[in-house]
Amino acid sequence: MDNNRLDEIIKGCKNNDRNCQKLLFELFSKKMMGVCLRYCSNYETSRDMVQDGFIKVYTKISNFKGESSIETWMTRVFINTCLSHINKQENKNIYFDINDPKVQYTNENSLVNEELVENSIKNLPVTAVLEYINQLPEKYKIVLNMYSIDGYSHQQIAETLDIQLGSSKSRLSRARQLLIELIKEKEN
Amino acid sequence: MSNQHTNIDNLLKDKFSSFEGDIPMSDWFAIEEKLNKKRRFVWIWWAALPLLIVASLTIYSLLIKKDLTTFNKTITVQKEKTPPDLIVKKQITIDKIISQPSNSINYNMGKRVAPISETIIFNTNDNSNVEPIETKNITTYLPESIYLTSKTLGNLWKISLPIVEKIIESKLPKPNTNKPRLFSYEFGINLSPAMGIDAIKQNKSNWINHNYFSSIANSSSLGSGFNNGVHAQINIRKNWFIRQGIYSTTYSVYNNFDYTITEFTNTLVGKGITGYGPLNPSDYIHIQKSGKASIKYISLPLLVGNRTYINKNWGIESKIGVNVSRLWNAKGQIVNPTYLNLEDINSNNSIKKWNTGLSISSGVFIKTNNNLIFTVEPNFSTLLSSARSKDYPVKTRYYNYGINVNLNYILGGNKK
Repeated sequence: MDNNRLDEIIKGCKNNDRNCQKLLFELFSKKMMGVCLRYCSNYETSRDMVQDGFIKVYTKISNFKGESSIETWMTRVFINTCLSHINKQENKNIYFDINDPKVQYTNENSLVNEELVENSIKNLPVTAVLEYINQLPEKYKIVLNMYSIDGYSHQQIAETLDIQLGSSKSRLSRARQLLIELIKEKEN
Repeated sequence: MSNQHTNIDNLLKDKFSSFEGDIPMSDWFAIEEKLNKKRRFVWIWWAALPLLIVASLTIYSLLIKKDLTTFNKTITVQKEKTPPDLIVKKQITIDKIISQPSNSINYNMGKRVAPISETIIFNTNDNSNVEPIETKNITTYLPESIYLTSKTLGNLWKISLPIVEKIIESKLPKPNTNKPRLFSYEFGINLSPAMGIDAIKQNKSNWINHNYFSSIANSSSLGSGFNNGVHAQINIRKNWFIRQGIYSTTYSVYNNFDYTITEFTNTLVGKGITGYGPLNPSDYIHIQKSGKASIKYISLPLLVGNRTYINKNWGIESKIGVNVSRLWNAKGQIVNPTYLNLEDINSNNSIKKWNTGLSISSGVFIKTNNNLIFTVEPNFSTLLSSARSKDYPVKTRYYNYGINVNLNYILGGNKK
């Protein structure tokens, strides 16, 4: 879709035009469903998040000034929607703990077969990789998603999740480690 | 180690860069429903705001400042030859407040008969043929009811002033003023059926292909409308008022087009007809289409009006106002006179969502003694622009000739 058409759709959404809102949904719903599936694991929950996320997008689209692409902006909105849901639903205090001492050091042995892991990620279908990620504990999965896939910095993660910078780093480290172990275990 | 992490991060990023999940289209309808509810919620609160303000003012008038204990007043009583105890309740009117008492020495909660300090003014009303019979000043106390006895009239007169009346009087900021209260508040319902063959019509002069349709015979458009809702009103002095409400307006349209096409048209899709040319008689096409539809709006009217009293109980009411209307529901089929087909107005999105309107009415009102005001008045209302969306080639304006039936109740303030 060319940029002019997309701009027209965004403008229409800002004017509450239902047709443009529908077009925006048609354009981005699958992509945003992908984002929600990464964060929420469950298909039905992800569908709910897509609905809630689009309501937020339509309500707040007047705040979108075009500084980033609409897709980037929407992805942030959907991630925040998922995080807010997880925080409410699970009440696991995933955002409020301090550094986890168990994951301060990386297990060097786990790096031995790094090529195997990299090849596995390359060759496995995306749904299989998603399945591995979804097996991670929630707090690790969230940080892995935010840092490795969605491009958040540790500073941004710490601010978004209201955790310490060190916690973000250690959770990422632990997430990678667990993912590598999971893949190695399965693929062997 | 860091490189390996970067590799894994990059691999994951690439892997999920085009990752999508399946989502049924039916989810859009769920979103649409939520959006509609959200808009409806906001709309209803905005509409209810003036009603809340009037209700709050009324409650304030009736309930606040109950703790005020004293006030003085002049009472006016009309002299009649009929037995006075029959007319006192009807004729007593509170004319003015004289002054606040300087102290509360005479305060006597235990007695229902108020201590009379001076004289009561028994004065004539506005009937110039009746002479004053006696004048007295009186100090009374709240929250007691007041029973006064006139010695002059041989203890025949018992005067009871309801507490509510006293509370309303006591909240006046300047007790010595003679001015009547400026505002009163009303709440009412409105029922307005629209009647007649032209109750709703399409404004053919606004059709872009006006010449084409001027030759069409036997095409007609019938309709009926219904407008109902609730409103709040602030009366300024006795005669003027401002009214705001929330009404639901329904236009029911029946179109019947029955004609023969004798000329061809050049059309651009979405742009209307650009030219005409004659057809061979063998190519004439007879077309008969009819459709009916119902279009509902929710409107917020703002009206300014005047009540001219012919006598105490009835008079002429006139008002003019504008409204903002939001499309609530549209269903059915309407004949599209450009493309000569039946259109489903629910799905083609050709009905404009927001409209502004104008209404004018004038009729008779009757005011009862229990603060009810009943009004019947012919009404004309119209949308100020086409009801169809901006880029729709056919312009349609709705007119509504109807009868307004209003029933109002004066909630508070100056009820005279």
